[in-house]
Formats: sequence, C-alpha cells, structure tokens
Amino acid sequence: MNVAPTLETRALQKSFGAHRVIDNVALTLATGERRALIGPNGAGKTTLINLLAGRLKPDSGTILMNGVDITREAEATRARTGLARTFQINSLFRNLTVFENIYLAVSEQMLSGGHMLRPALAEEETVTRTHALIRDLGLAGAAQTQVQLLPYGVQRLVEIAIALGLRPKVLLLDEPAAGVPAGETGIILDLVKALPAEITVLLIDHDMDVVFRFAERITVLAQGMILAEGTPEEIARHERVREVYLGKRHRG
Amino acid sequence: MTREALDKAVAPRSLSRTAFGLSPWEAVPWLVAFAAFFLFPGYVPLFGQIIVMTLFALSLDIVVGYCGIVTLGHAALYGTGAYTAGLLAVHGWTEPISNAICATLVAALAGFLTGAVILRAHGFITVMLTLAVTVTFYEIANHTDKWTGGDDGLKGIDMSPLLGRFEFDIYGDTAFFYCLAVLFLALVLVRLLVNSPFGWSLRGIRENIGRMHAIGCPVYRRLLQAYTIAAGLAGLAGALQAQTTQYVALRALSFDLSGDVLIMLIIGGIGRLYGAFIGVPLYLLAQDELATRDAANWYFWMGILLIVIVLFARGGILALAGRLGEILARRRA
Repeated sequence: MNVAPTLETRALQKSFGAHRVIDNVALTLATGERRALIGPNGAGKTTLINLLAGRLKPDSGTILMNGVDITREAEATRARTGLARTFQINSLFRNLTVFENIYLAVSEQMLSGGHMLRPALAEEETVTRTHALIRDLGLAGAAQTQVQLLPYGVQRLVEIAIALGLRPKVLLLDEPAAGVPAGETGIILDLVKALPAEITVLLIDHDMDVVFRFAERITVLAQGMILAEGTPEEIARHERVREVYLGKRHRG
Repeated sequence: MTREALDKAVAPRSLSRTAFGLSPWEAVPWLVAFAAFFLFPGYVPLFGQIIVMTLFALSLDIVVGYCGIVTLGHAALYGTGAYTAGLLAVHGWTEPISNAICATLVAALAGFLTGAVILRAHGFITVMLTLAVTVTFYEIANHTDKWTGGDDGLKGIDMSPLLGRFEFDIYGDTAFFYCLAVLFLALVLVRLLVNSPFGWSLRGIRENIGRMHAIGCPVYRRLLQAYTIAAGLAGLAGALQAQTTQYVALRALSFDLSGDVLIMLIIGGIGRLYGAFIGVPLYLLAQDELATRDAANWYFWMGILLIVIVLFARGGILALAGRLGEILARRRA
C-alpha cells in the first residue's frame, strides 16, 4: 500500500521581485482528502495553486505527488499524471462548443490528442466519456452551444468539467463559484461535494459557509505562510485566525 | 493582426457537424476548375498558377488559421521547395513526382528546424522571427548566385514527362491537371488533419494556449508537427511552381510573397479549410484583370478590397457567405 501522501510540498518558496508570496510552505494532502485553503486577499492562495499545477516554478522547495518529486515537471506533464486545476477566472475555449471544450481535455487524458488521420468523432471512448461528463454535469442542453454564449454560471460548470475530463487524482479548485450569481452557486457547490471520494481535492473559497461544510481540514494562508491548519472546529476556535481573517463575519 | 482580431476572424466550426460529413459544396472547386479549363483555354497557364498558390495558401491556413500563429515567413518554405526542385532538375533529377517529393521533404526539414526556434516565442516575437527567417533565406539565395542564379532567377529547369508519358506542354494542360491532382491530394490530407483530434488540439491551442498546457497537451510538439507539415506542403507548392514554369525567381523566397499569400488567405477566410480556394483565385484573377486595365494602380484597388473585407466581412468571404446562408435558412424556416 502506498503510504506517501498524494500531494506534498516541502519548504516551498516563491518571490515576485522582492516580494515573497509563498514562504516556507509545507502542505500535505492525504489521498481522498477534502482540504480547503483560505486566507485574506493577497495571501498567496492562487500562487500556491499555480506552483502546485506547474504554471509557476518555485524559487526553492519541493513538490511531491505520490512520493515522486515533480518540482521540475512541466505543467502539461503534471496534468497527464492526474493533477488537474480550475481557474479563478474562466479559462475556456470560448469560440468552441461545450462538447468541444470537454472533448479536448478527455482527448489529452486519453493520450490520443495527437492522432492525425482519423476524425475526432471516430475516437469512440473519448466521445463516450465526453458525453458522460456532459450528462453528469447537467450540460446536455448546452452541449452544442459556443461557450462564450452561455451564462457565466454554466461556463463555470464547463470550467470544472474540463478538469474532470482529465480523470484527476488531485483536483485544485480555485474559487469554483467565483462570479456566479448568488442563486446559482448551489449547483456548483453540490457538484464539488459530490466529487468521487478517491479524488483528493484542494479548494480555495471565500465563502466560509461553503468551506466549513466542505472541508475535512482547513489550511489558513496569510502573507505567504501557513498560519494555521486543522479541522474546521479547530480553525473556528483559533485566536490568530479569527483576528487575521475570519474577523467578525464568522460567528465561530 | 492582433490576437483579438484573429479570435474574431477564425471559424468556430462545430465538431459534430464536420467530423464525418462531406458537404455538397466541397465539389464546387473541382467542378469550377474543370469548367474553367474547358471554357477558357487561353487562361490555362494562369489557372495553373492559381492552383499552385491555392496549395500554398492552404498550407498557410494550417499555421495561421488552425494554430493561430501569424507568420510572414511562409515564402521561405515555398521558396525552399521551389529552389530544391529547380536545382535538382537543373542537375539532372527531372522526374517530376520524385523531384516534388524531395522538395517537400527538404522544405519540411527547413520548417522543422526554423519552427523549432520560431515556435518557442509568442506573439509579435514570432512574427519578427518568421520575418527574419524569410529575409535570411532570401539573402542566402541571393548570395549563392553561382547556383541559384541570384537576381536573374534559376533557369534551365526542364522536367521529364509526367509519369513518363505526359510532356509539360506550352499550353499548360499537363501542368494544370498535374497541379490540380496534387492540390486534391493535399486537400484530402489537410481535411483529414484538421478534423482529427490533432486538428482539434490545434484549435484549442489557438483559442487558449494556457488551458491546453493545463490539460496536459504537449503544445510545443503539436505546433512543431503542424508547422512541419505545413512547411512540407508549402514546399510542394514551390516545387510545382518551379516545375511548371521552368523558372524560380528570388521572389519565391520574399517577404512580399509571404504577405501576398496571407492577404489572399484573409480575403478568402482563415481557419475554414476552403478560404484558400476563394481568396487565391479572386486575388489572382483580379490582379490579372486590374493589371491589364489599370496596371499602375491595381495594388491600390486590392488594398481597398482588403480594407472592406477586414472591416465588414471579418473572417473573409467564406464567413460572409456562411452568415448569408444562415439568414436565408432562418427566412425559410
């Protein structure tokens, strides 16, 4: 049995110029864990996700996935090994349809994205899996619609669907409900909560109700450092966290 | 052209619609070609040139339309093919088909090597690099005039009969059908490519390169593959030009030609597969017509046409036709 944590960082450092955004971060996610990452604006949450996903390279420190050092691996390589992420601001193929958006992800995951001489629709398994995802996420009605014509809430679902198309072992969700009208966030949160248990999830969100209902453990980031880590109850009681972040908004 | 302009210009054709089905419209270019051959025998050599340029523009569409890379260096690859074919022929390799295959491979190699550098860059840097490649290739040909003929062009190309039977005649009949057949094969290949998972991943790269990285696509490798294929086809067009006109001018390697073929493609419509088939004939026929009527100013009229298209028919004539078709269909419904 593999005892190594699914995702682990050791002494991770990242500076932008003289400004240290990630400072000595050691994060450990167990397989299937539901972890939330919270912290005030500018705490370095998105930077941490970018480091984990490989979009940014750390100045020093290590990132391990299933015990293997992936610090030097390219973003695309990490994605192919099952590390998927969503973006805080939609990053979709705006002129393509929902089907095509998801197809692209599934196709790369199947390692068939480089097939040249057969029609895309002749890749039966890719097509089947794409349709299954569309159905699972309730996007069937919009499957043949260009993504840019869809309401933002639906685009948010496509954003997640693309990540799920990669059959992730680890899923990094950067504020999945950001920008979605208040009445529609429920659909996205239900989706996040219903994710298969074997997927390890790291969720950034500003809505404390969401975070406290979703997470088994919470990591609090402030000024690039881990300020606290623990169960939701522990975090809610944590004096410094309440001072720095939760403030008066959370009843505790 | 800016990124946003490119976004608006390219066609978001649906996967479900285009993956298998052949549209009856796809027979039109070939019917027109045959009709033109029989109706206007005096123009057959010009038609031959149009077919060659269509192949050239089709190869450019892979790079500009599908990969979303604006290049001003496509003539470098066309010229590489033309000079390869021409030089081989001058030195005795006059069998047309194997000669053209050699030129294709050499141009593909040139595309692979230059692409390996060009594709590491992004945006304007890419455009500048493609420009630099064209200028470099041009100057190389210019300075090796002992072999290439330099400014005077490469002369003395005399191909053997096609398939050992069909002489390249002065009427251009053999050349016409030879080029048409090659264009047809190239179209079949490109059509297959752009409708494959590979072709869709190119569209993904064009639409959002960052997300393609994030979903595990080896972006650089895909672009280099596409660029190499496009280079080979551009070289093939160059080879056909050398073989059928028995002459290679330095212009084959020029920035001018790179710009012209890009304009032809934009007029027709980029990222639509058939843009080249509209833009190139229109441009070259207009050039032929305007050059006889108003020789001094024909480029001016072409400029006006281009402005009108960019302003009012973004995505080229094909996009305009597509929109008209939709409106008509809605009227009928």
